[in-house]
Amino acid sequence: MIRNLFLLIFTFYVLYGADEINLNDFEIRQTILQDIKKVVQSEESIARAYEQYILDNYEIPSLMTQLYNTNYLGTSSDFLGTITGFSTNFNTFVLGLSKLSYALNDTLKADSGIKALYEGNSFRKRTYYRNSEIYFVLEDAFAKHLFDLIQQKGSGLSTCVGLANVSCVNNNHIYIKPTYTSSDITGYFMAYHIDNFKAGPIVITNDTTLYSSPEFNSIAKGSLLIDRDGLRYVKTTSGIEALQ
Amino acid sequence: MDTITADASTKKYTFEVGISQKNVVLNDMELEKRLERAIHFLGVEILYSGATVSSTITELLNDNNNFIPYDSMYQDFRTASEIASDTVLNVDEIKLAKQAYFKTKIKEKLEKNETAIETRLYLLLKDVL
Repeated sequence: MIRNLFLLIFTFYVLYGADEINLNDFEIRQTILQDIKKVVQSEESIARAYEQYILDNYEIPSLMTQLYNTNYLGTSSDFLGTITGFSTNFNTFVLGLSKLSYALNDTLKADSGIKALYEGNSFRKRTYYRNSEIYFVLEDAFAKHLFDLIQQKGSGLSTCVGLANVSCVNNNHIYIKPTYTSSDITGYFMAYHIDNFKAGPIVITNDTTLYSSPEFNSIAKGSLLIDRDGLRYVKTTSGIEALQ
Repeated sequence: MDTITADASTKKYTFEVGISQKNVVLNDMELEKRLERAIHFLGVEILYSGATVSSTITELLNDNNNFIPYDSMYQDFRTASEIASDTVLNVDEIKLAKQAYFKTKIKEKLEKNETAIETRLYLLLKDVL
């Protein structure tokens, strides 16, 4: 009976106890703290890759696999390989809309010092913790612009292929709600070269009834607008004002 | 044209734009970082997640979210009359003053209209910040 009890305790220890990390051990704690720093730095790298992906593809990545390649983060094994106990102590990165899943496992999360280090701002520049998730802050102005366009459209901006009222890109120009005649773009809410997204000139429709559409709210104040008849306008806080 | 003056004879148009002066927020890196973060949060919540303006502002001020860098704000937040009367603000009053200051800085940054997100947010938040 006693022998069976010892066997049971031993088995339980082998199955569960041996995997439990001892965070009171100085060396183990030092290693974990170094790993936390690397995980945060990895999250910062993912935020940079996320932004670059938007700039390269005019779409928002939704899966980590889209970033695990030579253009961005390299392979997942290379990217995570520098973190000694990633698979044991951390949760796999899961991408969301401008955010990542929480990386600490329950054991590490239960340690207030480690939790504070991970969630704090010590190693973070363009990521931040909120509500058990890690959020990205986009830095590039054009990436922010694309992010907004893609969110308003509901999907990435692809090359213009004759779909009416579907915003698209053609020859480095962005077309908002284009219309077509025999596969040629013959109308649109607005169109602009990608270099002119900030202040124009932006070519807009000559249908002034459309100027109150939400799409025009995205144009920055002070931007120069020219309608398809050549009349000039400027965007102001109160709307689109014609220049004399 | 509430913020614009236009003179058709001289073809001179004047309208308000935000500018960055030498002595302002851009030189305070921690505050600038937190402003970027707060504007990102406001954009994601209000523009893309359908959250209401009031609930998002409440979240912005929630201490758990750590958006406002209280420790990096070291100015004297008293009004001129409070300074004249040597009034001492208590902790809660200072906290509220810092929150108001942070919201003002967000509004100033949104007013610059540097991105589509900021332009759209400004329209929605100009009266509550």
